[in-house]
Amino acid sequence: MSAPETPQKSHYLFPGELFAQREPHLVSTVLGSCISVCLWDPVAAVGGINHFLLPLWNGEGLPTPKYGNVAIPRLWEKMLSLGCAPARIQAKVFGGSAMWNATEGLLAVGVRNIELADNMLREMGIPVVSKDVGGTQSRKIIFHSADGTVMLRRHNALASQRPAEND
Amino acid sequence: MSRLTDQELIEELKSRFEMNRQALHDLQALTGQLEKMNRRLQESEAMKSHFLSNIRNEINNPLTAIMGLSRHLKGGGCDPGKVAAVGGMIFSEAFDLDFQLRNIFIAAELEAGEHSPDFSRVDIVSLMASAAEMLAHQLEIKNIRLTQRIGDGSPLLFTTDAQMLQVVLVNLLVNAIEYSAEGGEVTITADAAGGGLKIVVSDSGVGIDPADHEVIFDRFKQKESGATKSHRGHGLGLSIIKAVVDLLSGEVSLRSALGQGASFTLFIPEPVLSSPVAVTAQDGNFFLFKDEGGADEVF
Repeated sequence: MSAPETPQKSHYLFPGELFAQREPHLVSTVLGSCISVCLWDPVAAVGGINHFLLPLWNGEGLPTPKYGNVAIPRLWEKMLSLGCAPARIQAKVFGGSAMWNATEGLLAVGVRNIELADNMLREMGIPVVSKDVGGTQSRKIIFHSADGTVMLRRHNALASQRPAEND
Repeated sequence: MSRLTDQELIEELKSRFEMNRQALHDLQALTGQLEKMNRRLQESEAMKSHFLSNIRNEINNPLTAIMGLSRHLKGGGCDPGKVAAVGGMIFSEAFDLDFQLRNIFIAAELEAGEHSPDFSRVDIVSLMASAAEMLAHQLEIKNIRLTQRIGDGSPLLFTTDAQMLQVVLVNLLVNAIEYSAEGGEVTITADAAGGGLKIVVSDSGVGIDPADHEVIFDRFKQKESGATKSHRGHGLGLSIIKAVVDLLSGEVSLRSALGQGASFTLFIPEPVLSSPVAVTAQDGNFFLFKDEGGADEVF
């Protein structure tokens, strides 16, 4: 991977945030049990990314993109509003690791996040062209919004560095 | 295939029973969550329709008052004392309308995920002072005393999003004033504690039943609803506070009982290193990524 030829804007994506702009950006974020869905339209060369913490909004507080069932459709709408064509949009999915111990069973938030992302993207008919989910390591990703490339690095010790609810 | 001893068989059965038991337990927990969620969504839907009917009153009433009062002034011939009084009423109505509309817009932005924290060193003392100044008129009308206390009294600088913290503070204070009786007291204290900022807003008002603590942060939720409600607003304030505090990776908690006032505690941690403050240079970011060595992958 070579460095981009022209200087580019960068953006750090906070948990619960959503990012999609027409202008090319390098968007970085750090994921534990959270999921980032990257959507990209190769023809329009426009990409967007979210970072959700929990699968479903349960009526608590505001329905923000902190929740997967809000973050995915909202990113999709945002992409369409930027002129992307539904049929061209591809997805990449990252995150959803088991940050604590494996005794959480069915209730492990990482696993539920992965399932929600898989199901929603399938229902919405968005092809997932690549993904790196699950496991026990956290991930740092950098999403190149213009060409859809994602660089990924795995970390071991991250869970101790960030508050758990942020991952 | 080797034969199992009786003991091994028993162990295996035990472990399978245990797995089943665990699965059943998980399933019950999930079903419980689903039922709760269903209830909340139904309530949320009902609240939303209330909101739509309320919004007419909430926007029309202040506007009608502002127009009526200003028409009165336009006629001229009022003595200066009356002009000041009417001016105060117009300001109060306009402030209220402005506050409600701002909250609606902020809620819409938060729901769209368009609020990205913008960190800088913030002087908490002056932030609190400007929030208090904004609400001076409201405090005066209800004759409420606002006391501000800052840690050990030394200047308090904290890295956070000034605008977001302001929204949270003003909403907490507006609530405290709204639910306080005339002549009441509101206290706000700020402290740097445990690697973060702790702010407590307490009032001497009507208090909140512990049974309602769980739902009080839901949107459109107010102590009373429908035509008989005695407090203005849409019940957006606390849900905005919760969403903003979430974005800042903080926590907000409530201590209150009926008739004993309410005390909201806000804790916001210092932003983590990987925040924009540390990665402003995208080139640095890029090379940092490559230079660490190890399992980099490109997707």
